[in-house]
Amino acid sequence: MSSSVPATEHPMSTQQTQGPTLTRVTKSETVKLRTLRSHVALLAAAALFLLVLGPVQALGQVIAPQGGPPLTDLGAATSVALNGGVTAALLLGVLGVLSVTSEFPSALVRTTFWAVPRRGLVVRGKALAFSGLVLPIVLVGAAVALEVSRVILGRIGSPLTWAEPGTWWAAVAMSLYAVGWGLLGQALGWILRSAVGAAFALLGLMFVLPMLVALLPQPAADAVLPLLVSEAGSAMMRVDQGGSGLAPPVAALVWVGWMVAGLVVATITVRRRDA
Amino acid sequence: MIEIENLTKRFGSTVAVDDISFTVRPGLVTGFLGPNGAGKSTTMRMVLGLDRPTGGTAHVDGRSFVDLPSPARAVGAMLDAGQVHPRRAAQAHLTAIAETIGEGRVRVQQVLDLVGLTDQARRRVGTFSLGMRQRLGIAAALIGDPGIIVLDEPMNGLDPDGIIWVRSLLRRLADEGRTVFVSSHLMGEMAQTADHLVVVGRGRLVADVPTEQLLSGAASVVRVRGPEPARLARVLTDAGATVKRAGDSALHVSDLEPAQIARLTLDHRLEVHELVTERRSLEDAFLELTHDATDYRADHTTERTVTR
Repeated sequence: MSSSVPATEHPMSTQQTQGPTLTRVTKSETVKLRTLRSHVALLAAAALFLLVLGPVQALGQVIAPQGGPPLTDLGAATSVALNGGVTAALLLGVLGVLSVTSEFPSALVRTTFWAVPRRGLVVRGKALAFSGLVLPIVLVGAAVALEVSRVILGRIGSPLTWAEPGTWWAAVAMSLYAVGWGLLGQALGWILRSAVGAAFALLGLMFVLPMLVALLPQPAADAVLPLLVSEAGSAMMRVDQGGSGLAPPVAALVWVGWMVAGLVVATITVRRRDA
Repeated sequence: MIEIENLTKRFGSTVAVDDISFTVRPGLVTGFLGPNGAGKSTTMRMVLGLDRPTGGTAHVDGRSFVDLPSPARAVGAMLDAGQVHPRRAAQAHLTAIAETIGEGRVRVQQVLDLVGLTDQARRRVGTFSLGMRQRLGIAAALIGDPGIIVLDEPMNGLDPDGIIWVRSLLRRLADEGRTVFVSSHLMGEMAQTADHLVVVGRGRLVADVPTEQLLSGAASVVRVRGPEPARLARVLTDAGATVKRAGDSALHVSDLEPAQIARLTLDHRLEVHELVTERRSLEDAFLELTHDATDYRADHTTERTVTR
């Protein structure tokens, strides 16, 4: 047992290349995400809801087709197929919160900031690790839910088909939506440092804020409401071109803008504070 | 090399670290001693860029920790053995740290072997004893093979075997030319481990001396009691002694041998009722150093306030 087990050779000149980079921090954060059972369980549960809830409802439509208007348009069909998406997004929001706040009770975050003193790198690395791990899963999950539902709903002649670009958009928008909840959860986790606080703030942002804004005097409410993260999120997932609110591509930009803004505020907050 | 200059940290109205300056040199084990709450951990956090100083600087290899190109390869740190997620396996914890500096499985295995946790690598840290967590913390600190090692209370909760292990590890790291900076609130423990001692109390620097010097200074004191303590004190001080009051009629005299004291009292026709050498323990020396600078003091304070 010798203490001088050297790491790889690193003369001073190459030390620059041996420090933390965004790629390395992202890898490190991915390890952290994957190695806590509670995190893996949440991710699995989210995927399960996304996969199962939609097809189950589609099956219900086939067996007892009385609930609501018949699925004549694509938008109604995709929203049945992706019925589990909102629940999945909620769970992923909690996962996002926990991926950050789980570092605080044990002060693990100090070890993290010792290894990576540039804290903005940690915030970005965590966000990238989360997106890199979750996005493929929800994308595949949404696609599978759509495909299974398509097969089921085909029996009652629904217009759900991959020939429509709207179907693809539905899968992509749902994935963006689900990942976005997680990133917003991370941002709130950094800012509030408490799992409970951040989870409630996330729910407030998504469900309570639109209700409060709706109470504003009319022109103001109409102007602000579509820009809220919750409204932009649902507008983004709309497949039919008509209807009120922002057009889906614009809504997607607003949605992503909220994520970026959240993480920027998180970075500023985390940099200013003592760890 | 760690250079601390006029470092100050205030939390609201509390001064946790009060204008401290000292240097931690390579090739030595430097002990950072002080009672709990003296500002040791805060100082270490500032060295690592975790807390922002209110004033002054803490430099590592000539610059602030945050500006180092590869911080974890320059300074290995363990601030608290509990800074690990309890439900994550030891190996996963170390892997996450190793990835940040582009190290992988091989390096993690090396540090696990080094601290003797190879067989426990897949266990969740929450099931570890405090001693095992200390070992894990030390393993994490050494991942980057750093030239400077900062450990906060690494011997806390260790059994005698563990203490000997940490001690010999620190010795070896210092002998390899590394800078080793270790805090403790136990004087005896540090006296056997450190080459150099930096003592703080209530946020202030109390001593910055080689361990040898502190030990010899602590070796002995002569207790002298007589009816005229004031005159006695003057005579002894004039002769070069350091004199401290120890109760109403007694003095604690250092820097003079008992024979010299006896000769002086005879020369000055001073009555002496007691003249006895008291061996002071290291703990006494430490207590004396930090006495005026301790936040939580037991009986002495009340006694003094009453007599005033």
